[in-house]
Amino acid sequence: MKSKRVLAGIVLTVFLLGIVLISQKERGVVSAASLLRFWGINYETELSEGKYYEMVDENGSALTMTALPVHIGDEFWTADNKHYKVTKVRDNVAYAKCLGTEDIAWKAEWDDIPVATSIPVQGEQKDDTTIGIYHTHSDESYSPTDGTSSIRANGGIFKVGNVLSEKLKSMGFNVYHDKTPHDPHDAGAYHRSRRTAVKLLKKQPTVQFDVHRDAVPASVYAAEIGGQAVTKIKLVVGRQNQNKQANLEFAKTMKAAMDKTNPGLFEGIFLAKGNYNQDLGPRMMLIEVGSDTNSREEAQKGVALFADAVPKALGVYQNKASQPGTKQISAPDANRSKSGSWPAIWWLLGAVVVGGIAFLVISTGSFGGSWKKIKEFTGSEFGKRRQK
Amino acid sequence: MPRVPIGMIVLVVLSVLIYFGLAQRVLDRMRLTDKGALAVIAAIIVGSFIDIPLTSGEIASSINVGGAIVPVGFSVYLLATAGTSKELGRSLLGTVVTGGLLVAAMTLLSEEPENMLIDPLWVFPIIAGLVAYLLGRSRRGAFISATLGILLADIAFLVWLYATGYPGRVDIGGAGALDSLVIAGIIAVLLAEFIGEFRERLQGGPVTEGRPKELLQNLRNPSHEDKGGNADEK
Repeated sequence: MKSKRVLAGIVLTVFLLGIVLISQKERGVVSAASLLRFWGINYETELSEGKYYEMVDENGSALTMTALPVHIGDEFWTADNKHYKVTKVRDNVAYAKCLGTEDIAWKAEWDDIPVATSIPVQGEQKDDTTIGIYHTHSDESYSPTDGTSSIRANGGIFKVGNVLSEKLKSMGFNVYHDKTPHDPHDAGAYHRSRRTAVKLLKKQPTVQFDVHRDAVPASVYAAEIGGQAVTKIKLVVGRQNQNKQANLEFAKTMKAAMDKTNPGLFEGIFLAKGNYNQDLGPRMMLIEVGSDTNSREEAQKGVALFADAVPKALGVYQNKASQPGTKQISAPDANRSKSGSWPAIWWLLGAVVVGGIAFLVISTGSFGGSWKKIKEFTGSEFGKRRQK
Repeated sequence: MPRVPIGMIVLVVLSVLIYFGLAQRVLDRMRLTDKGALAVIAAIIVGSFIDIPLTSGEIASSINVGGAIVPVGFSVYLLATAGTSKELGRSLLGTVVTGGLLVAAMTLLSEEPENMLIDPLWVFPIIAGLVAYLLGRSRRGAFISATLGILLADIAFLVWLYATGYPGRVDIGGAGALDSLVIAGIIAVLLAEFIGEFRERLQGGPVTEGRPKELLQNLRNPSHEDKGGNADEK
């Protein structure tokens, strides 16, 4: 018995180690250091200065830079609607393949949307649209203005959140800006901020923003819009949850709205590994407002411009829901093969069915046995109780 | 209320149904009847809306009824009714080891989830499930280790905040039914179930000979037992 347990332990360890090695091989290096890196073992509370990933296309031209580590399979949408997928990562350079150009543009007919039902400026109903704002990385700050890139539990990012919150309030939205600190900036940050996110969800927000800043050279985010220096905004969607497709569609709608209200403000959509609490809902958006190397004033101006796009994007959705099928004005994704929440639903159902069948086959040992078990289950759960 | 597209509503409803459906099946395996499991789920959902503040000020903390008190209480109940002292010992050991590993994971793992194979939300319950399975080889043990392990990690974090004077907030089980504490419990049991069934299949069925009667008693699902005491006669 004891030897069996030891054997089971060894098998599991080998299995885990195997996964680690394979994932490292994908990156091209296998070493003790890379094994440690796989587990993310480092004692820094912030990414070290100047450490970031650069994403390049097939010709080696830079697409973007990000302090978020990039992995094979990550995707990126540029301002000119080109869609890239990362195929190789070497020494902080991610090589991406162009998958084509998508039609993520504001449609002229969307301007005719009879200013959607509960969007502000409509009088009585204006308090109905609620927006939640929180900060998972509450220490994030802007060096040129705040003097450092990280301030314990009270980062400059809170002030950027304030600007977003005030601007949205002035537009008539009902805004909840939660400034709960989730420090330190470690792997537990999302574990802690999840609780804040759920607390905000109880206010029934239409959309919830987790406001961050990046850590790359200032030039990546620097822009001039309407004669003033601002920072661009990057939208981040996590791909490790069932809402990936829905959140991605929302990001694309936001992109179209940003292009319409303030061309040049959009930096990109990064579809990254991770969850970012986005399993909690289909409109949980992580935004990167500039970088630690930009000034906070620029970030504040950038996020104020970002707010302009919010009612426009929400208008598209509300119209979509309130119009009869034929008159429905669709979100940008509707013209493509994959649309909104439905693929996510099929994936979810598929996963449940496949997982369920796999489990039954393993636990009963055969397909016949699985079928018997299903019949047994439906009989005992849904059927009439047999009388003795 | 803002109107929401139907696809989004279906997605959310489906996620919720699957989640609570899984949760119910998991609790069902823990010395609870179908109805008992539903009652616990109901308590978790209703309790999600109740936060009990513990401390306030720079270092604030609270505990959520649905996200912490109900599942932790249930774990304590499972511990108290453990079939053998060995089961009790293993579950407690599993809890301590899981708590320790979680604290290590939170501090040592990278700050950005992308650095890991999977998001911390899923890493923590997987750690708990593996530890519980290796140490206790039991579904109940997995549930206990996972929920109490996360609780220990949260308490350790609160202690760390006080020790360093770092301002912060600890809302134990603060995300209610969606808190990592509850998710960890569910995933850990599913993991133990999956590995366990797989191993038992390889082995040709569970070993029942020479096992204490109390353990064998717990192998059965109470809801499938007839009142007359003739279990498994279907």
